[in-house]
Amino acid sequence: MMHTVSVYLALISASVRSQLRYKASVFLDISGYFLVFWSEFAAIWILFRHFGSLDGWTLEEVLICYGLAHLAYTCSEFLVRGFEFLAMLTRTGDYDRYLLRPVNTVVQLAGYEFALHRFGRLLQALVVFGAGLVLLGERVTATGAILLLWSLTGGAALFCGLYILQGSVGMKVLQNIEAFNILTNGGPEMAQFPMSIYPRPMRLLFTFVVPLAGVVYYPAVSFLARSAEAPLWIGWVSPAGGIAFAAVALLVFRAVERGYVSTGS
Amino acid sequence: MSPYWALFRTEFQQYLQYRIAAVAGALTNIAFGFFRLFLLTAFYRAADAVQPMALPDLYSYLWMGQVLFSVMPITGLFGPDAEEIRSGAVAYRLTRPVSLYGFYFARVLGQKVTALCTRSAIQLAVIFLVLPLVGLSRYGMRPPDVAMLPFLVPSLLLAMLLSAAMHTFVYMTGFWTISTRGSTSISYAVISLFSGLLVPLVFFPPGLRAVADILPFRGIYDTTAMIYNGASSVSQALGGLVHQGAWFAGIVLLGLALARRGTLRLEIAGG
Repeated sequence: MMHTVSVYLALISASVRSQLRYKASVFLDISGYFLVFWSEFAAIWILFRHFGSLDGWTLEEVLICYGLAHLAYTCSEFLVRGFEFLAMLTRTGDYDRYLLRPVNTVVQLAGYEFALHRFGRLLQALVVFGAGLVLLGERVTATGAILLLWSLTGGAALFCGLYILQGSVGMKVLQNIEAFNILTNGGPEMAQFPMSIYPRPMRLLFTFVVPLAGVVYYPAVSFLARSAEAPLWIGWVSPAGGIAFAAVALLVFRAVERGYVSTGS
Repeated sequence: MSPYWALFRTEFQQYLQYRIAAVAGALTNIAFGFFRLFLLTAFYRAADAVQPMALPDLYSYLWMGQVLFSVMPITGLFGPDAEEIRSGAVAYRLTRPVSLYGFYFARVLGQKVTALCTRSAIQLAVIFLVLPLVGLSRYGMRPPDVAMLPFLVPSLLLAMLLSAAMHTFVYMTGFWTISTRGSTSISYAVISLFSGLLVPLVFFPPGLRAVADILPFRGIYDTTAMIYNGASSVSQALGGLVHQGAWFAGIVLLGLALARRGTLRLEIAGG
């Protein structure tokens, strides 16, 4: 266990040091990435300014969904975005080397890269989330804060699960399937608004199959005490769905990995 | 045959080979279109005041954005061409007897026309044929306003040219930067907001709207979508065409200037 952790840290530190060779570039990348998400946020602000509210939610209430969704997503990107390279590693046969090393392959893939530019997005999401909490004022409680941390954990696990699934499918069909972007990139874009705005089939899909609602919407409902929308205990239980999803994704990955046949090149 | 025409055609033929990728891309865009559509529908549901755009027109506007998405100077900014300029491999291009700017412009335009003929065409087919079949015609796109066709066709053409000019312009900044990630993310931020892709420009507060009206970016989407919907008067449509044309000329000139300066003091990364 200790060995695995130290290997992971070594991989990450190598990735960070190589990026820091180009300090100006890293700085530009981080600030560029930081700015991108402000333009998407500006779009939300423009809509709220024009319409006032969204399905009974005010802007500061929606900021909680926004913060949870984007923070969880960015954490998962830091952790397991490396799984995106599985298709390429399988195609070229480079995955042989991963299997030969005496370290858990999940850890090796997780340590594939630690892209510093993602700090831009992390920072942006933190600023928006923080602004939401400040605007909500006394509606923020200590128990509420614990709920938020718990749902962030569930959310990060869910998005990690999605990337691991995407990688597993890529390993099977030897290329990344663009449709997965609907869930990965599209995930935070969809979950940043209350689930109640989507039609019923979509809500069911994102509650019971890919439990995005369980890690963002229901915790936000509980946090904001919007008891008319759902019983408040649900938000305390539902983040577990994200962790279950990640566990299933890992099982799928192991099953696919067992069927790996080297290209022999 | 001019070399630029040959470049344009090769690019077109090459990309036509990736049909499955085109279908997957089109379906992804449709899904993202639905996210935006549901969001705005929910905003409309609670709004009591009359909105600047009726709901069916809004849907057409949103779908037009998804259809034009693959043409906008957003997708493919990270492509191998940008990498060439950044890495110094551009030196090989300089040995050819064609203008460097013309070379990239022709390639970019070829990619955009291909995207329009594959990805966008598939999307239009899904929107007009599949949505009614699965009972979702209420979320569909309305047919274009026939009276505005004489404006729509040139406006679409100018939108493509303007997109290609902006795309090539971003490439040319590669002469000065080590990584194109920064400049491409900033271009994405500005373009997606001020073209109307993220929110239709009619919802912008007045001050911001005035800025968006001057900037070139509405020319790659909003202008064309408003003409398509018949929401522009004849004089507005004419004004839109002039705006598109003037900015196209301006951005091509700027791009040419960048290309000239870039090659004058070009330092090729070794290797």
